[in-house]
Amino acid sequence: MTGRMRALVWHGDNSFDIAEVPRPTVPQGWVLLDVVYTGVCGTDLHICAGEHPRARPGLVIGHELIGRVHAGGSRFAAGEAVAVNPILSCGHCTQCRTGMSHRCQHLRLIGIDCDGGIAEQVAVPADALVRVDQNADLVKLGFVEPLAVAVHAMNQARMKLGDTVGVVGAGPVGLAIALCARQAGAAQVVIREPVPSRRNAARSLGFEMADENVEVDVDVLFDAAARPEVAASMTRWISNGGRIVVVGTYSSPALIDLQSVTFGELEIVGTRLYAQEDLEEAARLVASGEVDPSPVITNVVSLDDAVAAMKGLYAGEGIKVLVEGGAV
Amino acid sequence: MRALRKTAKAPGHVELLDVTEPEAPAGWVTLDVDLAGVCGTDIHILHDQHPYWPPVTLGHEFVGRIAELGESVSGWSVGDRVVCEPHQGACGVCYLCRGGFHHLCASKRSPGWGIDGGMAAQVAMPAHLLHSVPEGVEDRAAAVCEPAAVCLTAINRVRVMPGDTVVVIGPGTIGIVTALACKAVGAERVVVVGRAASRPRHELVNSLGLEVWDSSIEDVGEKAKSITAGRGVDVAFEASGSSQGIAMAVTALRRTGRLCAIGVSGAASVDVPWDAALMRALDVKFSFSSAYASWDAALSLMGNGLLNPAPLTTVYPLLDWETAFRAMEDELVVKALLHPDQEDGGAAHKADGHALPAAGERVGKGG
Repeated sequence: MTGRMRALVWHGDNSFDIAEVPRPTVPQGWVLLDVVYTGVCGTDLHICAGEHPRARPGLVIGHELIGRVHAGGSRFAAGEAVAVNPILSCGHCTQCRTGMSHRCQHLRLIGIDCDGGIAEQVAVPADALVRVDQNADLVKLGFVEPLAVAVHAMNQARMKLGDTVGVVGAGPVGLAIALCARQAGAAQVVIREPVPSRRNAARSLGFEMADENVEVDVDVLFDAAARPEVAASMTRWISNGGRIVVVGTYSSPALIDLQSVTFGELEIVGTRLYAQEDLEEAARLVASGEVDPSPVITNVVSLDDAVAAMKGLYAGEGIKVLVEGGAV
Repeated sequence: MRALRKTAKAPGHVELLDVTEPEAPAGWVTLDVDLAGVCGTDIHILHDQHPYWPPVTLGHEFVGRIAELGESVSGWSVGDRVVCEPHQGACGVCYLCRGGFHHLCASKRSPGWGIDGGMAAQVAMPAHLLHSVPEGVEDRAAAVCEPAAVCLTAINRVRVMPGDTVVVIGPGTIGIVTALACKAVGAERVVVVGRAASRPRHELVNSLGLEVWDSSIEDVGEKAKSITAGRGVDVAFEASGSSQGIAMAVTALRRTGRLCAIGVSGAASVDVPWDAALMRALDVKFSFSSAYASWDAALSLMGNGLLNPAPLTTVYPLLDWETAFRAMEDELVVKALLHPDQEDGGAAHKADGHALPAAGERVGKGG
């Protein structure tokens, strides 16, 4: 093994390509992974468009990681397939000490604040490894990270058996939430999505599509689109006493009909990232087959084809792209 | 330095010994101990009724000042007055540690039984478990921070609301501090229930502004109905661990009331009035040990004058540890504190300590 490897590097502005970089250095308490698959996230698209405030040029992107442990340690064997919790938390603030390290006041992420996983190899903290069923399909496990976002959003939603659930946005996270809501006993899951290819993906998973002009009363509404027109209209298709879960990231303040919030005693709750146990639950859901993300994973590409696949995502083609690493 | 040590795995074998002062490894500090509280756990260790790894210095409740900083400790200075969570050895990677429940981690080795504790002139503790004591909180109150944090953790488990009527069974430190904290959270009426045997404590509880019912005189279930228009109380804390106490808590509660168990029974099983609890559709929570956020909350309440456990305490010099332990066992005092100064016997503290009248006879635990 040479001292260099190929990785997807963002150079600043909207310039990114596959480049030769040094193999990762592994600090004390960290481990080296041979990457199996790394998913491309909307955040990666923002970074490579020069729109992410924390990313610094020269960064290897990618935080949706499945890898194999390069050298075994006390908890994981060499070659063992693992998922990764990409959250780098301080461990000392009140949020970290109360089991909420995903809300850490000094939150950093692998693939944003330090080199990530669209590469042959990546270094991650040993505590970040998530055990997965070694017999599970590794391609499906490539969807564990976005699925963990959905698992956490479901926890925040406190959905009840028999609830009617609405999801705005049929991207990877919106579809993951719809799958989880069905698994959690929703009586009906209705999705709102304008892009035809994404509507088709939602339909192929058996979900009902809401027409733009139809008002449906749902008990829990997930906003996985984060668009101003969604914020402005979402109070119109929720039952009194219902709950709006804001999953997508708004980049600026949005208008919301707060009178409806008052009169209907609506709740609006945020959800961000996930806890370690959400990742463990997501890995279990995939391994057991209770959630099959196959229709959402539209492209599995080599590192050589990663740039083209990302350009496709910018053009609205495909839903979830996985990039093969050095262990495939 | 002098340290009160459990020296062997058998009943007894607790001795005041001369030992080497502790050093602070990287990430740890040493503290000069000002006061160390005697807990039921210490007495159980004396009698070989709790797990421990001898030889070990007793005491997991203490307040002190930082004497020395180990390597790579930041954010603390020598002289800082602190209390310390007894959650050393938590693994940091299990589902409990990751979920904010490091106080329930199976790998935990607390001071006083797993590692050397605070009944000594000095103790070494990991810096990440320290909490700063606000100015104006006297040592005798800060020394009770650990039990207070246990109480706040329990209160958060059942969510006591302003306006609630609350009954607390068992007038020990945990019961009384829970009752005081329920007052601080805005409960409308808080009643502490004790047996005839704990009568010497009832006056003290009364003097703290809390109502006391003597269970040998009152029918607790009927009395609870009589103060709630026939409904029953909203919340009950069972801090005695006795089957009589559990029965009183259940019968005092209203339908859909909340029961929180914080008393250790010491038995493999206890009687519970099952159908009475079921037909009330009670919410039952158990609470054990103290969560991180409860320590800051307890200190904040003390610092703002909303919770003061100091009147529950009686200070003894460390040399008189046997007297202090016996006074706790005999329920002559609510919370005995040990002062490590050898010669003056902690006279400054003792002057305003609160000693109860002698109970006359040795009594067991319970409501």
